[in-house]
Amino acid sequence: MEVPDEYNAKLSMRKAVYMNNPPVHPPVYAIDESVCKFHDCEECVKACPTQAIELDQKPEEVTINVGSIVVATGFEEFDSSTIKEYHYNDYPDVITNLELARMVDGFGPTGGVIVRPSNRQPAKKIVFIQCVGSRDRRWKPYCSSICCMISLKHATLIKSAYPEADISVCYIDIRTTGREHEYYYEQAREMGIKFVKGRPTEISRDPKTGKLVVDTEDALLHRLLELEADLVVLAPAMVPSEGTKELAEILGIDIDQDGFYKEYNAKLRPTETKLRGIYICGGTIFPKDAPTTSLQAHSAAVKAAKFLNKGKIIKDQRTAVINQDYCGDCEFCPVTCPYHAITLEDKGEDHFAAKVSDLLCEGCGVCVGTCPQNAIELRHSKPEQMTAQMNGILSLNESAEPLILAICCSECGHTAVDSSGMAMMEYPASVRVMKVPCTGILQIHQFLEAFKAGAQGVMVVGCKSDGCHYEVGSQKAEKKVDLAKTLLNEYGIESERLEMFQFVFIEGDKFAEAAQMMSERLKKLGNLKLMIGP
Amino acid sequence: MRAESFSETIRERLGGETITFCYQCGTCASSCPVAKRTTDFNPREIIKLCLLDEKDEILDGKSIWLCCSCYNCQERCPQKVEIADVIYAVRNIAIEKGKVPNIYFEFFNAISNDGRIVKVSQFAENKRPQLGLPPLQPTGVDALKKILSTTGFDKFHLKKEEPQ
Amino acid sequence: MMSYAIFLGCTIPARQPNYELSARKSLSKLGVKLVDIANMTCCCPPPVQSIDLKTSLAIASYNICLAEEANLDLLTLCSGCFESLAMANNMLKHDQKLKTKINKILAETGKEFHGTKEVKHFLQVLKDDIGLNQLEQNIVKPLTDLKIAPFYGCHALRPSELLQLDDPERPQILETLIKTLGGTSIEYQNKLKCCGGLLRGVSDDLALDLARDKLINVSNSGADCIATLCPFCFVALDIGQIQIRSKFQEIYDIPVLHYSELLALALGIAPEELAPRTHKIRIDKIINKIL
Ligand code: SF4
Ligand code: SF4
Repeated sequence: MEVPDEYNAKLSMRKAVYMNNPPVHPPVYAIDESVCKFHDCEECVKACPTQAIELDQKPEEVTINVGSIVVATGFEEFDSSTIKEYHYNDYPDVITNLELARMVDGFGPTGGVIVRPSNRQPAKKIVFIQCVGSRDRRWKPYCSSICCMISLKHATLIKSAYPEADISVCYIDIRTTGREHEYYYEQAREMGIKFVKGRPTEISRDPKTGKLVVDTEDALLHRLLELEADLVVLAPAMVPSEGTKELAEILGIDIDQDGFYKEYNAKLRPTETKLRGIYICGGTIFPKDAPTTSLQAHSAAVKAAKFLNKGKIIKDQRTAVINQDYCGDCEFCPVTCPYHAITLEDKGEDHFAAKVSDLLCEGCGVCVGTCPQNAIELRHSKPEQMTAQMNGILSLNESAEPLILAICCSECGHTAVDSSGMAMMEYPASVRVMKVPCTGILQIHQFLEAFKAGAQGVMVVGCKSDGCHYEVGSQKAEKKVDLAKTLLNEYGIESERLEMFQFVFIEGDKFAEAAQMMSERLKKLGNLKLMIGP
Repeated sequence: MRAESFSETIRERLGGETITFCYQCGTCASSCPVAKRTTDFNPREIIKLCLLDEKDEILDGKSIWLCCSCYNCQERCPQKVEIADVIYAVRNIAIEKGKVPNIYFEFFNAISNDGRIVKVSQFAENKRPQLGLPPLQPTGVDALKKILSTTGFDKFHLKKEEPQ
Repeated sequence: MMSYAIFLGCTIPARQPNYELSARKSLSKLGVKLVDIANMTCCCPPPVQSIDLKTSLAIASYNICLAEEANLDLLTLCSGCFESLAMANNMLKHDQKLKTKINKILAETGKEFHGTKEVKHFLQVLKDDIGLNQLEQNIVKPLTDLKIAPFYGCHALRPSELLQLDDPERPQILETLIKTLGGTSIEYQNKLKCCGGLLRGVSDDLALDLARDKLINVSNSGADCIATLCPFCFVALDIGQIQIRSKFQEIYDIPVLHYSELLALALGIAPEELAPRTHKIRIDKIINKIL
């Protein structure tokens, strides 16, 4: 049985029993179920000297217990046939860079000769088209970052083997940002490869000769060109490999807007995910070149080894606890917890109670702010501690300015306050800062408590909604502040006395400005009249 | 307050919203049947000149009037620039400034008098029963005039005609 | 019985009784009722949009309001009308802010746009509402032996996001409908390119150049005739051939028929009833082939 070999861009044939990719390690053969004749043939079984082939093998699911996972599922080429005007899959002589790579390979199906797949004749005029699907708001809005270099590599390799080849590259911008990459571009120009600044609108084919024509503008020449070609090579976008989304769901890690895995922190923890023990690297985070991929692979491997080598996980007890007697089994907290740390425990008789895993809990308190039964508290920030802290810092006001409580999260919120201090920025002394793990912990009644304790105004200071260190905390706080404002109005308290602010940690100036603004605003509003007591 | 630049004016207008997405790839130019025929017109260049605030060159020149509204460019622009609509927005601005090619006066007069841009002659109307066609229904010229006066479109004819 | 409000526009009643007759007669043969609603106005095609886009949208929506009041979908013959009206309809349906803005203008006329009706192209009604089967069963004179070059023009297809008639890169609806009539749909170079119709009057030379390109490509393909959907394409290619004859001394002699005319002939409607003299390029040889 022989079928076209996918690995060789279908330029050669392979058998039903084959090695998917010769350089793989260990070198093991596989059987293609879709073409194998099984017991009607059995030739391979007879031929194998070590009796390694069992035709009745069935796929099985294997469970492996592991201590850490490194996700390196890579990327793949965007399906170029989506861009119909380029006629990939339609005209055989329109191919992609990956397919060309097989032809460039001296050990490949054509022995390194660049041919037109339609008739196997050598291709003399070759046109590359960059950004096929990349930088395209209809498909993949991002720059795939490596395709310029891939095309430059292919073009220079071909040109050096066949100096008479006429090669043009149609580009929007050539991006050669890596070390020594620009030299490639330089070399390509020296070799006589032509560069056309323009993204072609379409590829057409002369029905008689089969010749391709690439219809493009050269924006620098202000001229429309029709480039004849024997072979057109597309540089497709790089997209997350199939199944990325499903795996992310299974593992509980995040993906970004473009569908790639999201790292915990792009600058400081680039191969970590929000879950300890799960690491990511390479093209699965974003398309990248081999050196960077290898660097990330090292990083992920070292992180995983370090994590495993400890032999144990040390975790402080700054976590949430649930009083199961109070738990009303509402299922709010398991859904809200950004770390999937809360599960429901079967208590029998159709009764469930929520339970926190100390290992997974990061201690943000978003669950505390969500629980309608007050069944959850943080070990390190209990409600009574918070109340006491609030009363303490609001007990004294010696200035004439209105007393303001600024409830800041321990991440960006509090750090912003610190940076305003470090930069010696001024804000009224009557602004009192109270630190909480995350603004997501706050409950509406706590805002009211603050007013009762003497605050004229309340500022809630958290991270940016999309940059919250605990994923959803700041967002939740924002919603609660909105709701609280409605309630305040009901109670006859001006809702402008309560305000949510979201900063990046360095925005000390913004904090100082906000504090000043609140103070001015409260002065205008005058003293808060609270009707307490009968 | 800072004066609004030409490109901002375009972006604020109906049709012009997407102009800043353009990264000058030229897909529109090679898609355009008009640009293929004449160097007087190139949609990419029009967008670029607008983005560079070359207001006079755009509004005084004849190129913006050459677009044949085929939407080929818009269909293929990788940045989803609504090029043909941007050109409408620029034409709208030109017309507000009194820079109007003659033929648009004809369109304008026809639409405000008859409610159609192509007049149906009495002869054609009379011939309908003979051909077996039902009589034409009256056009809603009154409603149309109300709309024109609400949007200020009817002031159009007051604008000075620029020599072509 | 299927009913639609017909939107005639201007060019068809002014100059192309052949389009109106063939469409009306075919549809009535196929059991479709067309309602002529009073007080329709201009659809506000590109030339009017060029003067003021907002006003154009308001006027286009005004027409749709009339159809909403009559509780009928709008059927358009001219692609220009289809584009302007379908675009307005879909823009307003999907953009609340724009809808509010336009409704403010419409309030002066006592109308309000709700977005409850569709604007349909003649072809959509044939293919989706009547159905190919029904169509096929009514054919008495199949167009066997007729090689037809389908020409969509621009405004039936683009901008596709708003019009949704068919895939703008590989449309099939017209080809399918030609085959349903028993005809052969012929492929030709640059099938989807513009005919230059809207440049007539602005730059006649350019307009003629584009029309000439189209005619060259069609004549290379060996087609017997061109099937059009739009009165402007019709003018560009039909009268265009006369002008090209005097300007370039080139004779193409390719009959240009609206799809509706081919349909009417296939349904057995007598050619004399279809105002065949509207054509500047005689269509006798096509009629003879069919009869
Ligand atoms: S196709 Fe779009 S992005 Fe490219 S030059 Fe034209 S308008 Fe700009
Ligand atoms: S819409 Fe105008 S600019 Fe765009 S391709 Fe057509 S003629 Fe050219």
